[in-house]
Amino acid sequence: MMIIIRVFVISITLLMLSSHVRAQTINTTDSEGPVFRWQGDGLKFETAARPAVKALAFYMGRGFSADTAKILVNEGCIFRSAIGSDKKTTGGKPVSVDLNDWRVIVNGEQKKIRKRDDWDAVLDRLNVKSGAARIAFKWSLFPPKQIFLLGDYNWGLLSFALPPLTRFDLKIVWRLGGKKQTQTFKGLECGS
Amino acid sequence: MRLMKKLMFGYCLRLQFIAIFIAIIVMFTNGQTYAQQTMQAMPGNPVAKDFKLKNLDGEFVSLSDFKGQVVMINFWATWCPPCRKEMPSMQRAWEQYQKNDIMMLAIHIGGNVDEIWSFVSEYNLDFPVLIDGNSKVSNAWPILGIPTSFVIDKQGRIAYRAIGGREWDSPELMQMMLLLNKQ
Repeated sequence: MMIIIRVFVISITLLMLSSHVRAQTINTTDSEGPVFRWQGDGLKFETAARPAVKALAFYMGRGFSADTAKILVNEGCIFRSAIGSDKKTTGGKPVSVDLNDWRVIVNGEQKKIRKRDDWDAVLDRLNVKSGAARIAFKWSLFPPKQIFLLGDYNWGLLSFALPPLTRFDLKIVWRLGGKKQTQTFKGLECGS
Repeated sequence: MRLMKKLMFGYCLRLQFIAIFIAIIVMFTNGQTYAQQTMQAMPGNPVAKDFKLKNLDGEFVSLSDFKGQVVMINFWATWCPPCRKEMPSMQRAWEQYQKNDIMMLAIHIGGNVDEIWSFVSEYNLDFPVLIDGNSKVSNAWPILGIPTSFVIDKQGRIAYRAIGGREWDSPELMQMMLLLNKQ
């Protein structure tokens, strides 16, 4: 009898747990390396390092010179990313993301991530005149602030402004119906 | 009695396996897909800003050319993965839209005509593609990232907005479009 009760309790607990698993970090590996994912508290997020060779090809394809493309890759630490609302956990509330709140943590030191405006200054410094390249660069980067409603998601590149092969942690911040949520991913690495 | 116990144990074990299996299925079907087939009503239904852009044949096309029609406007770029992904469904939706007098305009941000031409022919797209070469129109419209789409009602107001890619020929979205077209 005890066995039956024990098995019943375990089964019910597992079923209850499974139906309430709403916040989870799933790290997987695809052909390009580790993919870091989060799903819960209203947010779906995934990010993965862009290999340098692919990032280089992308920038040159958009009209940057080879020299500038190399600088962008070496300074950028570019990650492809998707951010969106998680229909199962938003509870109908808007999800807002402000990249100004996000931090990269390298050797215990916290740094802001590099956003569209920061890159504009870099492109000015590099004297990049090509309008087409700058337009593509701007629109390929993730928007600094965004509000996601049900069904909304966005794709973009995140730039952590670190040298190739730097290992770091990433603290992401979002608000679900105004309530602050955070999650930290450990062991990300810039592409090389 | 012993046999009964054995049978009971086996039954319980099976129950436990089923519970674990269901738990795993539920956990992994929490979904890694982002797009959900819905659009958001545009707050305040602002009047859509008119624009005049060249199509791939070099002819000017304005939003005001389609006054009195429902118009779906999609901002995109060939190098944007979710934009590429939604293009086949846009083509399928366009084939339905045409039967219902609904217009579709895909506005490419930046880029050059040759590159867009080769993309359009590779994907067999025949809806109008306009080029926002200097991204002035894209900057003037309420978009932050691509793809972003809008649906303009017959009165020229923005009725819906969708951030991110969609399956445009899905029954849910098609129904929203057809309902708006009836109003």
